Amino acid sequence: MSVARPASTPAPHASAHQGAEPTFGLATTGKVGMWIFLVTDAMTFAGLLLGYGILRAGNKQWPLPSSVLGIPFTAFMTFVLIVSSLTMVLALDHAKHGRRAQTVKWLLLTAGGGLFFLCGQVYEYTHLIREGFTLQAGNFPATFFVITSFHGMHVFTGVCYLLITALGVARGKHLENGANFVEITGLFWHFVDLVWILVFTFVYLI
Amino acid sequence: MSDHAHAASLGHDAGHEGGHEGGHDQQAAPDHRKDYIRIFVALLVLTLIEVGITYVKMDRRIMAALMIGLALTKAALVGLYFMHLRYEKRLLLWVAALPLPLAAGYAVFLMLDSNHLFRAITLPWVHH
Repeated sequence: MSVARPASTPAPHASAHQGAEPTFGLATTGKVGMWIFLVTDAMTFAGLLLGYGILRAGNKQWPLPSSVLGIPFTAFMTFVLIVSSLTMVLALDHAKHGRRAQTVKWLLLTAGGGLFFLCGQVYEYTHLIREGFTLQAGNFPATFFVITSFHGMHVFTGVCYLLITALGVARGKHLENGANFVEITGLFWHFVDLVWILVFTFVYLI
Repeated sequence: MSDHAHAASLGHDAGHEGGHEGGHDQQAAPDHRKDYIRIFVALLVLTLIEVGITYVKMDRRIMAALMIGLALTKAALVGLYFMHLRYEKRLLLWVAALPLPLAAGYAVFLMLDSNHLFRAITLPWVHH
């Protein structure tokens, strides 16, 4: 177990992994495919955040976000999303141990966290729009709604993905091959969390 | 535990058939729950520090630099540990990470340009 190997050298049992992509060592083609999708999706978010940054850098009248947006409320929503990332890795941990019921439970808790986040976003939008912070009210509200709703759609997609995965596990699927399917689902969910970490910082805090 | 041992535990030592509660072949996978909880606590603490900074009066540029540093640290923790990039082959890490500094450089350039900071620079081969 403790014999050192160069990081780039695949483990001897790599070939035994069903669907492994040799170029990427031990990762399956499904996992590599998800990573490539996530990188391209990250570029989309980068473009949106870049647009936000350019508009803001050229505008001396840009309001301080914390004077308009509710930071404590959004910090709590961030907390919920980070907790859902923890429940996701716990679901994967149980899946790798072949514990079906526990895997389903933690996957459903993760989806619940995502749903709670979406409800919080609806509440936040309603509150802001009632105060006149609408899509047409200027560059700040426009970029705010485009970026956060685009992320919200990812959360919605992630919740659907998690529920479909949980249903599959409950029906006796997805625990084979090192719970590769559950791990790929987790990659998407963690990406949603990772992007929110950046959105929360750039749009709400700075 | 070594990275490779961890990688193996992430299911790369597969070839086994799961699908049953507490399958014997999957009992060998080590428990990483403590590691995951440590990363979770680190993410929480960093988020609290970020929110706390918004209540401290300081130069906006210093605040922005601190916030970006904290956010990138959090993003790296999620990518490396929750998404297991640390335990994948180095090539996959490069695929995921290489576009980020390129995008960051592009962002800085465009934001400086939108602030008209480049207009002060005169290039000898550009005639106005």
